[in-house]
Amino acid sequence: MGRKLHFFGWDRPVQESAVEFLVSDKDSGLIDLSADLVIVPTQHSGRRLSDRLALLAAVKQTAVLPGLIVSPRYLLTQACKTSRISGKTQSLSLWIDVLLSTDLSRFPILFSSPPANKDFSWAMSIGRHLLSIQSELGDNGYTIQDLCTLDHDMFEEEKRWNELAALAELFFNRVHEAGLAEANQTQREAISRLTLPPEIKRIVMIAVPDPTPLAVTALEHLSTVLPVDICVHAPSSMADYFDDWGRPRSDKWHNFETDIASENITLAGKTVDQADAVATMVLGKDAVLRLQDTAIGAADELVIPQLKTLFARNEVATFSPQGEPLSNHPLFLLITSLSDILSRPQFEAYARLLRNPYILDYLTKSIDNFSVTKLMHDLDRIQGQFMPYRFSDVTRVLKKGLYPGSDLQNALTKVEKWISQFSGADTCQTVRSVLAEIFSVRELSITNESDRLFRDVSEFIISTLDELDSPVIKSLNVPAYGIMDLLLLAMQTQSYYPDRHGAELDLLGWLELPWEDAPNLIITGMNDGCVPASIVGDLFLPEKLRRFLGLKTNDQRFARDAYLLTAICESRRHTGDVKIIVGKTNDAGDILKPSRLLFLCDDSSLSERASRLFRPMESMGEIAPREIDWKLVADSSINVPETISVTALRDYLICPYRFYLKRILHMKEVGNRKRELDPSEFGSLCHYALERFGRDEEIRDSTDEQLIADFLADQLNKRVRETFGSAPPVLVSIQTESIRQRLEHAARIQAGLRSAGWRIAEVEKSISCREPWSTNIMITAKCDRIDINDNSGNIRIYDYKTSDQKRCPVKAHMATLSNSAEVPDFIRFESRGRSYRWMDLQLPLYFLMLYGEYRDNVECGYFNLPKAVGDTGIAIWDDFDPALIELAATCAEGITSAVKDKRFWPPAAHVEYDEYSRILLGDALAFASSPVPTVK
Amino acid sequence: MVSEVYNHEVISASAGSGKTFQLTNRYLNLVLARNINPEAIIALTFSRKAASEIFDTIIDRLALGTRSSAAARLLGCQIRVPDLNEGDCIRCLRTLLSCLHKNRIGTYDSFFIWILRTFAWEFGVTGNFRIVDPLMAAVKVQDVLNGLFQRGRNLDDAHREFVEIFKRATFGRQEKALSNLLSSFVENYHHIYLDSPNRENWGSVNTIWPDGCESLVVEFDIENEIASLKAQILDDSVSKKEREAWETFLFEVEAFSPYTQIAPGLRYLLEKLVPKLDDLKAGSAELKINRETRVLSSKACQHLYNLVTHIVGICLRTQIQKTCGIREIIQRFETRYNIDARCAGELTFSDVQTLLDPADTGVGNCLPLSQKPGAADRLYIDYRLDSRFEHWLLDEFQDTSTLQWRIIENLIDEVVQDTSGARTFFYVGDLKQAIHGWRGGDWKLFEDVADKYNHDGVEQIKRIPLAESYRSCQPVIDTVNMVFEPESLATIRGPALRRWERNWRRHTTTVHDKSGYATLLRVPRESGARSADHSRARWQILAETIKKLPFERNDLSVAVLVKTNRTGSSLTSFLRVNGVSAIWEGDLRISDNPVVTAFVSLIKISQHPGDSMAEKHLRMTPFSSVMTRCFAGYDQLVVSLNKDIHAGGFSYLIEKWITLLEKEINITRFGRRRIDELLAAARKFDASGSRSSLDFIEYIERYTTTELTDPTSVRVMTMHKSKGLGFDVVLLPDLQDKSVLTSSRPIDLAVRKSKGAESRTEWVLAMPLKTISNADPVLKDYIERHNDDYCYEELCLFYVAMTRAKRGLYMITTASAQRSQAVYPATLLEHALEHRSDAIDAQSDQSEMIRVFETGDPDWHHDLPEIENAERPEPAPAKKMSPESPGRLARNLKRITPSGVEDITINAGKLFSLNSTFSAELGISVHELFQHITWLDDTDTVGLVSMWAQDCTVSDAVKSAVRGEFENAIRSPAFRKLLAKPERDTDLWREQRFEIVLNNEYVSGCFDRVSFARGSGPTGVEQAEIIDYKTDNINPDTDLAAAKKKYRPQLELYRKVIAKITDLPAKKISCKLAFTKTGTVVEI
Ligand code: SF4
Repeated sequence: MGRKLHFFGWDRPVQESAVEFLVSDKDSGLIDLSADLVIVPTQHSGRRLSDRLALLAAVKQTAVLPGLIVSPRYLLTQACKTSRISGKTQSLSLWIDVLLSTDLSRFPILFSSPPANKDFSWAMSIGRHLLSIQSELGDNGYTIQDLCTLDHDMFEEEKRWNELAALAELFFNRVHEAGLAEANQTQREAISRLTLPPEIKRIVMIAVPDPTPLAVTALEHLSTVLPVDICVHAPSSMADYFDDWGRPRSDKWHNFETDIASENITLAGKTVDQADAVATMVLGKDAVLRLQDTAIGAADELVIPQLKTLFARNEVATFSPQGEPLSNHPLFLLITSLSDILSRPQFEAYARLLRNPYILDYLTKSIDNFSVTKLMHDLDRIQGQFMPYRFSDVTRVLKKGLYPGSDLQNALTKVEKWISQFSGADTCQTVRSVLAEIFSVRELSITNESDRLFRDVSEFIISTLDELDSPVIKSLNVPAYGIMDLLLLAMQTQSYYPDRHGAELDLLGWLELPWEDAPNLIITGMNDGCVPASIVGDLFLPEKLRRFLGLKTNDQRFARDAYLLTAICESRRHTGDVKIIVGKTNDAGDILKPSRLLFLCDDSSLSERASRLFRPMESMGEIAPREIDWKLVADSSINVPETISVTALRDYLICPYRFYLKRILHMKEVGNRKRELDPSEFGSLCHYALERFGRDEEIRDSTDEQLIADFLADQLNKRVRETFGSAPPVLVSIQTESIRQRLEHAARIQAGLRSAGWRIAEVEKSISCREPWSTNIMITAKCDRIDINDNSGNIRIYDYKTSDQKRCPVKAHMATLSNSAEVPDFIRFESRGRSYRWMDLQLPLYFLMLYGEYRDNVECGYFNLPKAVGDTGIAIWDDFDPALIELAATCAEGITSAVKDKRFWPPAAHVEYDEYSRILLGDALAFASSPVPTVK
Repeated sequence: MVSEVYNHEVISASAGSGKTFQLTNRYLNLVLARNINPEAIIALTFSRKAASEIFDTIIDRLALGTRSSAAARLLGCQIRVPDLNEGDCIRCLRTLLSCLHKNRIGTYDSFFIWILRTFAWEFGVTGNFRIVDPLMAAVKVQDVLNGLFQRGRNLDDAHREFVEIFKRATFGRQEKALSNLLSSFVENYHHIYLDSPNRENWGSVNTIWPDGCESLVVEFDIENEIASLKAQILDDSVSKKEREAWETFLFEVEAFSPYTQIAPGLRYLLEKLVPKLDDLKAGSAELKINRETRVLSSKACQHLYNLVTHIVGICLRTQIQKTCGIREIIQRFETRYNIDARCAGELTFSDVQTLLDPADTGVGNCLPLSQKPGAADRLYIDYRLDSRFEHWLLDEFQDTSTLQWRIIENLIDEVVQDTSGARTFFYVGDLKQAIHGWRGGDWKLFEDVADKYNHDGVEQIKRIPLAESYRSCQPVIDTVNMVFEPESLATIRGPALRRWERNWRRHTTTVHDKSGYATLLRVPRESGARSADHSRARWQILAETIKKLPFERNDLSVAVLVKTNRTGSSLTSFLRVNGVSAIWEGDLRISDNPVVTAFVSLIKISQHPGDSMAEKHLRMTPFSSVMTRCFAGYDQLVVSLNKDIHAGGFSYLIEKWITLLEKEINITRFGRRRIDELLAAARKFDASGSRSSLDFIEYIERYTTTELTDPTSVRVMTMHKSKGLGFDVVLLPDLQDKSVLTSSRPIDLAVRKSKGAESRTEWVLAMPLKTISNADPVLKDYIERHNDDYCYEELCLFYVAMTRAKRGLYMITTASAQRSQAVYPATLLEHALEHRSDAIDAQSDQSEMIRVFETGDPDWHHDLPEIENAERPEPAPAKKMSPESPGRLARNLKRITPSGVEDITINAGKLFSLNSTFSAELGISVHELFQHITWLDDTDTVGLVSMWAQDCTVSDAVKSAVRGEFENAIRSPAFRKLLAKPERDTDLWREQRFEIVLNNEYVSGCFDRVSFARGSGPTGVEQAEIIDYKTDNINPDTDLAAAKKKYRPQLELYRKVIAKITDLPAKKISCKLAFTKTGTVVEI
């Protein structure tokens, strides 16, 4: 019985010595360690040890019966095995309950500024924090309440701790009321009664540099009944540097000189530069280390993704034993989406859920002829057109039958059915049954890795749900979204482990490195704060208090890591090499500092190393000349349209290539987060009301401003209600109000017009024209309004304009042109001795198309409804030159024949509003190529 | 020379005099002369880069000091520590390095975050808040705005109210695109609101016009006024043109309302009348209309005065309405933002400051920070920060904002008030480099803070000016002196000039050993040319000048400094086209190239397949062939994209598609870089957890990058960005685009602050048009001051630009137009430098460019040492590669478990079904019970079950099911036989784990039960029997064959393991499945 300290020496990898130590007293044959409890620092090191043992067995043509290989935490779990302790999630729920049900003003110091929103998620955050304090104290055998009984001199925030203790008291009461035991307290009490399984006859703790005080207590207790071997990965000459439990002594390691050659330490810029530095060492022709003999570690885990990318590009498979956080698994996303609907039951959340691949898979398999793309497109269409907010808005819209053949209704009904289940009593059961239904269409094969991972994750979800389903939590009446939050949180703190397929390259974390036996090692991210980690300042446990309580201090972390680094280097001194890479900044741009451990060297190296590791590192490199990887290549097998609208002609005038994208290819962006009417919808609403007005034979002859305004407002409101229901989106309401204001002013103008004898003759008149040109492409248009003056018999053709500023018809149609400008002939024209180019053909073409009906005394112009409503009014094209009609016709012919010949090139260099700027990058000439070879 | 080091010092350090150097001097002095522990010193600056530079410099200088006693002495001299030796330096260096983690040289932001983290609960946030980067924050703001626009079930009051407020905020304007408008309100005004949320400060008549505002009180009968005026003014003497002008004016005045824009006809005369307001009021004024001067009668004056007052009144009332509306909108936003973002633990840097603000703004704690324990209305920080700062060093102090100062003010107060002499305060900056006003920097603090402590004749803070440059050579310094002497600046605004004069000191330099050159080149003004043509002409000269510099031969840093990003990027392209290798050092969007935009489209269709723009766009790119080659149809493509995004994030999708794309085309080096940046961005985004393609695209479109620096290229950057840097050669071709006299940007929201170190917002007002505000004394005064500040900052910027030059300074301007009133930096240069040098060649060869001024040696670069052929330090020779070892391949094997080889499929839905837990627990418990059985005959099964029931923690339902199943099984004859005690000597394993290597795979597993019959086999075993308990629900009559098939691979593996261990032939090892539900046993 009793404890014995063994020194392995550090001239070889720790697991070699460990295996030797473990099997030393075994005869040949089966390696039977089943009576051993082997304690190693991490799960990974346990696996490493088993591997080594298995390899040894392989050499001996046999197997290993491994006994228990565990991390120190096992001792605590074992101690509490028979108690009904409150699990993590349960404790958290209880904390949340305490925090939410307690009047915070009872704790004026602790919560001197109460949260703006004392809600579940606040309580969850605070609860987590409290739990972490409890567990940190618990590892050392303290509870929060204990602290209040301590010597007060050292204890500067006594009052605050008293409050904290009072709060903790409430929590403890809650735990006990629930018939449970609090984990930390129980551990502390149970640890001295700890028993191991009867078959265990010996305890071996190997290279564990920092067992928690509670674990040491356990071992102390166990050493009275079993032999306990403590193995240290260091030579016995270093015995002074360790305490009785193999822990590095902090006073000793502070000045220890770790022997690392300065040239093995490299400074690199960002994480990507660190990865590049690794690449130089192990890949390519100048490599200094053979990759297969080299392990790669990352003291800063943020370097790992870069390393993964690096090696993936070089076709080296990698493996991270740290696993992946469960929150990266798609199941997590599914549950998140479900939970979002519960906390914000809005269309957006439904849409997100419907876009989840699992849901789409379910729908595909459970609805006949289901199309994923159609469903997603329908979601966008409904969003774009109706901006639904609640689920009920969607139902209302769908009832109109606007989406014939859509599966949206079907899909939404299924989702809604699930969601409605949540309003029932039991959230956990509901989650299970909903997931059971969603996945009922999916078969898992045990031999398939992703299926296996799916199962692992599911199992974790189920076990968490079981914990949440306990009577304790049920009694707390946690709302459904709260249960979901707790589930998601539990998932976030858990990892899942993809398979190792064979010889992948491990990307190891710092604590895994001591158990790595590759001859060469590259350690990246060797920065202070990562190794050694340090805590400077804390909400509750600053260093001063930690030291007083005997919790782990910065000094201890330093000592441990100094020792580990030394052991890592020493075990390769004769057989391999250690290269260290230090980062200058992280990807967020924070400046990093080299690890303090790197300065455990003699005076002469110190200053050289210091000035080398503290210097500016700019990302220097060869600049890549700006090249364009490709130009957009268009399809030339397009069909020429049979009709073109007058508005489309304007598009051509603005830019032929963009005309091609818009009017020929019909490229249109959807799926933006629309929350208001776009300008064209805004205009349409105005137009709509005015059209109704123009068609109503009674009202249109009114000269009563108010009556007209009321009529227009009425039409407007009706239309808005039809589209958006009784509660339109706020912005649409404001827009509606803005339209109403504009219409009110239009009503004033209209009343004036009518009084002046102007009578509406026609509105929204469809007109078209094929003559006189020969392209067979018909030009079409809708003329907003034609008035006849009762007194003079004069005619006026109007177009309503709802742009921000009032517009002038002349400026809108033509622009002066300098001679040098390159414009196709049909776009330029001469009028009254000056050169112009067409900007729009609308009004002249209206003249032309209406020529049969309205020939004499015709004027044209705009009915402006601008945002400065005082400026509402008529803008007539003064002294309109009838020659323009002919000129415009020529231009229109030019455009139609260009379209017919598929001439869409060259594009305009600059357009005022470019809806294709995203893909043309503002420069169509540079980023696109002519759709068809230019026809002369 | 060792001079005194004062306890509290402020250094105003001119450009190049080494602000960082001064700060590190101070730091080193504290540690080396006063033996101060580095932990007790806090040094704050603005950028992370600057912080790192300070620390690097400290370490570097110390390290240098360890090299020789001369070096140590030199250092000692610089930092005013006599007799410094190498030993001191090495000791100090070691101390510094051993407490890296406690070192507090950093940014204000990091210091504030640190405090907030350690006092989170006190500030009403939780401790695990995250700092979100500005891009994510922008996405969040949109999210909060979305929340604001949600509608309730009905058109509820809140909704209606919002509509009303919005109407107020856009008073008189029926806006169409509201969403952007709202975003811009929030973007531009949120911080103003946070600084001063009180209703009384926003558009409040009494605060803005404490002496009353005439336009707002008086009311007139406008029709009357107009009629009387007409009578006064429109007599026969009036020309037709003038009459027209007056009539339009009067017509517009009458029609004028909050709902109309100021029409040109109104503006024309208004702009003439407003400057004459005082005259009008006094009753005698002259007006110039159409080049004719008209003398107004006193009556006409009165009426005109009234009309102007009337118009101004309307405008002011409108603006007041708007101001209140805007405030309410922001208030609503803020309430929601506080809950959705801050309370949810997502904070931006500015949120952190807002929370720490000791002034009462409605957020945060309002308690000032303190290092004195025990004060009730203070937050005592030292204990929780594990720190005790005795010495404060603040860098670039002219850029400090009032908010930042408010947060630390009390801490500094305590330092300065400490009489023990053990605590010190030091700040450094240059009031001539105050160019950060646009982002909150308030240079007035620089003086105000010193004034605050130096009152009543006591100089607590010693002011030390430094005007000696370590950077620039004599000709550059001479030129700077000539240009920036107050006498040269006579044309600028008076207050700005006076301010400059106060801070100006003639510069000297220590750089005497290097030659240098400064020149001003002037391009003649071509009449009729536009300003773009002028820039072209200057750029041409610029390119020629650069080409003459000995780039390749010498290690020369050359920078072209410009004012705006827009100029910078187009100038860079211009230089490249003209054969100069140039790099633009501004931000570039990563979506500036076809590869990234195509990826954006690809990601778009993954969740929005109906986006025909994205889809057709892809079909116009090389992605098109990937799409047709690898996917059966659009549906399949979309499903696959969406799946990949959900499974591995956007970064995963991008990596995968790059590989696919590379099979189609060779991506250029540039495209490759952008892809790498896209990937980096994607990784950051993925970490946020969102898998929404829209969010991602929004993020990517805002994401920017910078070009790599390359020593052989010209660096083009903005003057703002050049601050703090120095270059061998600086070229300034962009000194002409904005006048320094008046701010060219209209003021949207005027924010009036009070004076002094405790400056607070007095009032906020949405400013009317300039014509109108000029009519109001208060607003006019505001604009004047604003323009003074603007002018001063422009001057600073110009100063910063010129002082970046070490050896060569080339300034290129266009001759100013005759009669131009505008004052550009170029004008100042001309004014100061023309006729100041004699060696001028009037015409240079290549163009009509004129060398207006030069000083120094035009061939200064001939004395530059040539770079020797790239002698890079070879990397240390690597150790010989060790002889080939089996390597990783032999160590890292695949790891399998026997239960993982079962050839079965299960329904995923069943995993979640309600009884899955029940069956899992049942399975485990049954196994556990059987594990206790050695031989059935010897076992007290009743006792066993009750013991088990006592110990285990499963639910009662499970317990009773287990009991039933167990008892049922052990009653079955097959089980009785299976577990009966054999006659021969037998070893038994129960629940035995094993590890073994089989076929190059690690197999680890666990046998339920194996019995070994002892005998004469090679290992003393004659036969073995493997038993595996199964708790499946099977029907023994129908399912056995299927079950056997299912479990065969597993049991075969067991058999192999036992064979390996015992050396028995396979036939000597029997494998049995024991089904506990039915008590059936089958042999495999
Ligand atoms: S001016 Fe220079 S120092 Fe100041 S923030 Fe900009 S880049 Fe940094």
